[in-house]
Amino acid sequence: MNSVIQARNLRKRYGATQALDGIDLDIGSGRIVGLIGPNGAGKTTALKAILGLTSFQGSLEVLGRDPRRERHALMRDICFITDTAVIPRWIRVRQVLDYVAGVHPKFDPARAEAFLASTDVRPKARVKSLSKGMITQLHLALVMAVDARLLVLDEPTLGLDIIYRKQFYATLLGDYCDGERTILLTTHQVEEVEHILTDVVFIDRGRIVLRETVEELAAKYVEVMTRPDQAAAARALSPVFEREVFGRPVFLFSGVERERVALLGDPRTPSIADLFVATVKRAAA
Amino acid sequence: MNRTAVTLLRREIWEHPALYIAPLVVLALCLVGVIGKIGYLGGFVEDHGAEDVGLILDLGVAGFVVPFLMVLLVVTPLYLLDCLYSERKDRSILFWKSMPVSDTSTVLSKLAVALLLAPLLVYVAATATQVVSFLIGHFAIALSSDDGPSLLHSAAAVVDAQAVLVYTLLAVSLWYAPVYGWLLLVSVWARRVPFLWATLVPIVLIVLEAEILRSRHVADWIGYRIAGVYRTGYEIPFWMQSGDHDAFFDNAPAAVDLLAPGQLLASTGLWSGLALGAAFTTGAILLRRYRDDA
Repeated sequence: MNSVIQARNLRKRYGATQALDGIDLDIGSGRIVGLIGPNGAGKTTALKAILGLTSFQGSLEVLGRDPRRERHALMRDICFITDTAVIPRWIRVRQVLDYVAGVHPKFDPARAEAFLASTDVRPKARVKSLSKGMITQLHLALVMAVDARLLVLDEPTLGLDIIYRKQFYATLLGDYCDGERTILLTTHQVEEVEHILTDVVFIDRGRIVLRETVEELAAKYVEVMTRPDQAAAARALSPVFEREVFGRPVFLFSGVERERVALLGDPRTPSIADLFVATVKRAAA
Repeated sequence: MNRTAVTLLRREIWEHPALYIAPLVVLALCLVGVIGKIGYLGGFVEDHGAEDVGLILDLGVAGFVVPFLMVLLVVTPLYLLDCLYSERKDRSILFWKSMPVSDTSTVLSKLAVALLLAPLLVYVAATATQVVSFLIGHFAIALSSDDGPSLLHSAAAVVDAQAVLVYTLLAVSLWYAPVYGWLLLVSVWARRVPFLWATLVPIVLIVLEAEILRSRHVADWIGYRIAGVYRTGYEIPFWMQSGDHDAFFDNAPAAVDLLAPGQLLASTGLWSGLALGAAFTTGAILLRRYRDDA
């Protein structure tokens, strides 16, 4: 496994807030990693550090380079889409493609054009005349046409309707991922990316609170909904989290065999969102 | 020039079409003016003789440098103030930073627009104006008299006009390097109203100095940075300053005689200005690279 991102004790302070409080992170090539955390947890700061857009303390290597000193060289192998990196409104679609073709050695304009041909985005259109969904398609066309090693997505589908969101991830999974390329993404719509992730990293208040592969998650965590009168029996198995759904208690277990949990009700693998809520609430308690 | 450099310059023209539209507007206005005046030329030739009118015309062609210089000095500062401010205002800076282009290349491409591309576009429009009005004027003289200036003289006059134009665009652009660098720095730095910051800082310095020290070194220095090139880079001969018409025609003056490139190159003002321009530009590069709040 080639290391794509290697961070040691990453720290960053904005005034009184500790945005990153000692992050250690290793991401190998071919992984699709979801960086999940509440607002203000430090997700965006971590991504900005990885992209060489902000200063930080600690050591960080991305594709073998120091992003602070070599941002522009790094950008030959990294693509990013964030809701803060806006394609300017005055530019035309044709000009965006010409520009990227002119400055990016790994960009294949024919690929981007082919992708755009399947959308409603016309080459002559100005970006200001495009809908938000179409702008994302344009962004995606650029990303798909760059032979990059790391793709960083920060809330890439923010403000898009469900059809565009589904398309976005379908394209990403179907045409982009080839087992070599690495994706690091954050989103609030965890349930939409759940099926494409290989790894999850939960981050809260500048710290990593959980780091698992998706297979480990399925093997390790199990959730069960029981009748109220079985709650005591469930608590005896020392659940890591307990909540209530429609008046019935739901317990989350870590490292408890499914057969034992099955006595209490129907065992199921918790969703990443549920697991996240449990982990963060537990950390806060 | 490599492909990246060309692309970065093209991108600037896409965003700032005024860089070529403004010179084209001046070209159109000048030609409208020339064509409007053509009716009077016959009368002048009758009063003063075709040869003298031809000489004035030749000198006048060189005079088109003035409106074109003015448009350059309006368009370029406005461009510089906007170029690194607008990418933050429209939040496209992170998009540009997602490309494999260093901050140094980005900022230098903006400076290159001010020092090379904008003067080049003005040069093309001014040359077109010179050539067209020269042809129109001499055609009109030839219609009203057989006795115009020799073709050789007129051809030399076109070369002269070109020399004045090229020299002026180069000299003024280089002399204004510190002003351009300052505007770039303000453009990167200002959170809003870059125009106000760019002008307010020198004005406040001038007022503070006048109030506290009762002196005007800052004002003199800024005045020199703005007007110095027209004193240092040109030499107006005495007979021209005196307005003596006979001396004018006796000397059969060429516009190129007014240029003083040696004096300009020997002035410390030019070189200290270039150094200051480089310092401001370096500041702009570092600020764009290290600021966090983009």
